[in-house]
Amino acid sequence: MYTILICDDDRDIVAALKIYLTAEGYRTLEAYNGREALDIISRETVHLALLDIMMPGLDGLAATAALREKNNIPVILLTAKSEDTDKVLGLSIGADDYVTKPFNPMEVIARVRSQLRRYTMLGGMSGIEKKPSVISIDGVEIDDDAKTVTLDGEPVNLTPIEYSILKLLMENAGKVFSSTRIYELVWKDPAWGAENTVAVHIRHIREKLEINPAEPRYLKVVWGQGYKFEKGGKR
Amino acid sequence: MKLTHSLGVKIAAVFLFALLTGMAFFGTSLTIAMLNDGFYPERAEAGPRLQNECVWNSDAAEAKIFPLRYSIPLLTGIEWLCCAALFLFLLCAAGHREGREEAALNTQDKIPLDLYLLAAGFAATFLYWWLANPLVSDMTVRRIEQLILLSAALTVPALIVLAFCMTLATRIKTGTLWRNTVIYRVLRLGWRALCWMGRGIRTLCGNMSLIWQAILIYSAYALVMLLLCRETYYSPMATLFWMGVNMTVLLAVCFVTLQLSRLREGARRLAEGDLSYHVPTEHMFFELKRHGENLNSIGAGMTRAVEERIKSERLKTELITNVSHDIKTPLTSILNYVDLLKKEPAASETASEYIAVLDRQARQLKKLTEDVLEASKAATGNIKVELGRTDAVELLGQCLAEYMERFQTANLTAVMQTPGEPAFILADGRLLWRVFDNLLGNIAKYAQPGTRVYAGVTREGKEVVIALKNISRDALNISEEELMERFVRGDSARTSEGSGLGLSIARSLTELQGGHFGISIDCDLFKAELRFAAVEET
Repeated sequence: MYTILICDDDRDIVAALKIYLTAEGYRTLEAYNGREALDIISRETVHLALLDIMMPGLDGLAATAALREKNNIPVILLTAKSEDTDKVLGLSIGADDYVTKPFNPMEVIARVRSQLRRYTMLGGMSGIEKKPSVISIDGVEIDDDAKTVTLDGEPVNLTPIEYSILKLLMENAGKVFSSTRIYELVWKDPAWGAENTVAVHIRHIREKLEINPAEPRYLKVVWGQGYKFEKGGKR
Repeated sequence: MKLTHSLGVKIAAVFLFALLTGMAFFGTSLTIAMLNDGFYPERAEAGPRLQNECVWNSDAAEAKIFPLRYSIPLLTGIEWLCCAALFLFLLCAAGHREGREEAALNTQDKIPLDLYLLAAGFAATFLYWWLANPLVSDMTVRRIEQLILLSAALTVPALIVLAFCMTLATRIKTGTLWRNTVIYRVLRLGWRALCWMGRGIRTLCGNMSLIWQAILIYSAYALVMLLLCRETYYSPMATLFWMGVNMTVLLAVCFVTLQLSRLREGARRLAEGDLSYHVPTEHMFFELKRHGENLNSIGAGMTRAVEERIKSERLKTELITNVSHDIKTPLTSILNYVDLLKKEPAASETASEYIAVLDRQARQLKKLTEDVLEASKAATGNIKVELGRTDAVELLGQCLAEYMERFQTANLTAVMQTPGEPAFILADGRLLWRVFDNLLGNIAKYAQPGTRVYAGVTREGKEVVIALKNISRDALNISEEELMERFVRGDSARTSEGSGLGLSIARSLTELQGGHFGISIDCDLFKAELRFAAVEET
């Protein structure tokens, strides 16, 4: 059983999250400011921390920075700010993920689960030699021999076309492909007005792969240019 | 067919005129001769006769003429009348041509009038002189043959006069009487030269500094006064005194002008928006100094006003940002606990109905908070814009794909019309997605189910136009401008979901990227149009 630390100055939010996480079978600890959170982490075994950014005393960013000095547990930031700069700052300071308020509890749970899986799996799998046919990026693993895709260890069901698109993007992770290019490479046909087809397929992959398809972590939309598989991004 | 328009009639008239004029001249000269010969009053059959008067070749001829002494003048009179009538007719006909209603100029009408008059006068005089001179010089001999020749010689100038009068008539009809003269042209040229000189002088003065203008004008004035004042011609003392006075005045004028030019410079800088400029008032006097100080305080006042405005704008944005952040935290609790309540098994049917309302309204509040924040940031330009080469066709396809499911739920069919090749624009794809997110969201909400939604990219000259068209579910009895205002929605009852900020956000975000956003409403057809400058493929 994993222990999750919930830290927010708003007690109602902490209580609500506690209900949801307990229902999912996690043990929870509560803190109401950054200092308390650091205290608890130093005393108890905590597997994941949910930290609010705006808190009196020590805020979430400072707490994350302090935490990272000796601990590598996953940290998910809760923030009322939705600006991209705040997200970038949070991630660069050492957080693994973030959720913007007002959040959907289901999304929080999904992110917690994903982070925990990756945290535990990365530790377990670090020594194992990988097959050359396997490409693994940030928890997404594609095995070209078995034609399977797993997300943080859990299998993902993709259609053959979806699989080919994902494979193309993962083999060239970080590179942007336009819809026409993807069509030409996957369908092996000249693309005549096929922009929509590719976009719809990608949308379907995102729905299967991402916790929140509107804010994808892996399969990113580069608006007006194409699509890419994000490499090295924590989200 | 009017007679005046026919060329044949005119030529005939001219011939007839020439003939009649000749005859009339002849008749007239004959009458004069008869008068001189004393045919009237009735003279005796064999009365004495002047010896040298021998118009008639013989007595027999004279005898033949004599009975006609009354009918010849009468005939002559009629001929003259006919001539006059023909003359008038030709004047009326002048300038008219077959198949044209208006009078038009022909070749002779294009010769400058004064030149024409000169030439015509000279020609008439010369021709008459050349033809009639040999006859007139021999005054002693007067024969009837000579009278005929004389009449013929007179007819030539008469024809020239006719031609002149006709061209005059044509010119009057077409209104080119004055314009087509050498005098008019020369005068106009002169006037233009004068205007040009005036402009030149004015430009020269405009580019000269105020102080030089003052010195020049005052020196000119002093010189004129010196020339007018005759006293100074005689007395060197007076001249010296006069010069001294004028030099003093000139110095004063220079001083005042210097101050004025400083004030002018200050006012110019203020007008250009340089509010920090300070007019140097240290060496100014009286009213000028006061005026300079006023200018300075205008600058200070305006600076203060602008600063306050900027500050209030910033405070407003900050307030909205803070408030929406502060609203988000309690909203999180509300949403979460409503969600938990939904899962409680003990709720009655009414209770779950109420919870559904709470849930819907809380979500609406969430959307509203996000929209207000975004609208405020977009309107104040408080958003980082990263412009890059973006393919409008690709982007539209991506956006439509995102909305595919929502459109299917709303029973809408999206139709994409693209040029079949990339259309590159300079824009921030992320912001542009938010523009289309708002527009497509509106369409999903407000479009009539079962209709098609057209999304098109076209190139219009150097612009790329992205247009979204759909049929509105409700009648849009509202103007385009009103609809783009903040918090205005197509349905005035505000029963549907939505903040009324979507179009306002879309417009602000488009304009932030240097694009142009417009909507148009044609009955139920709603059309949103984005225009961006096209970027050539590299």
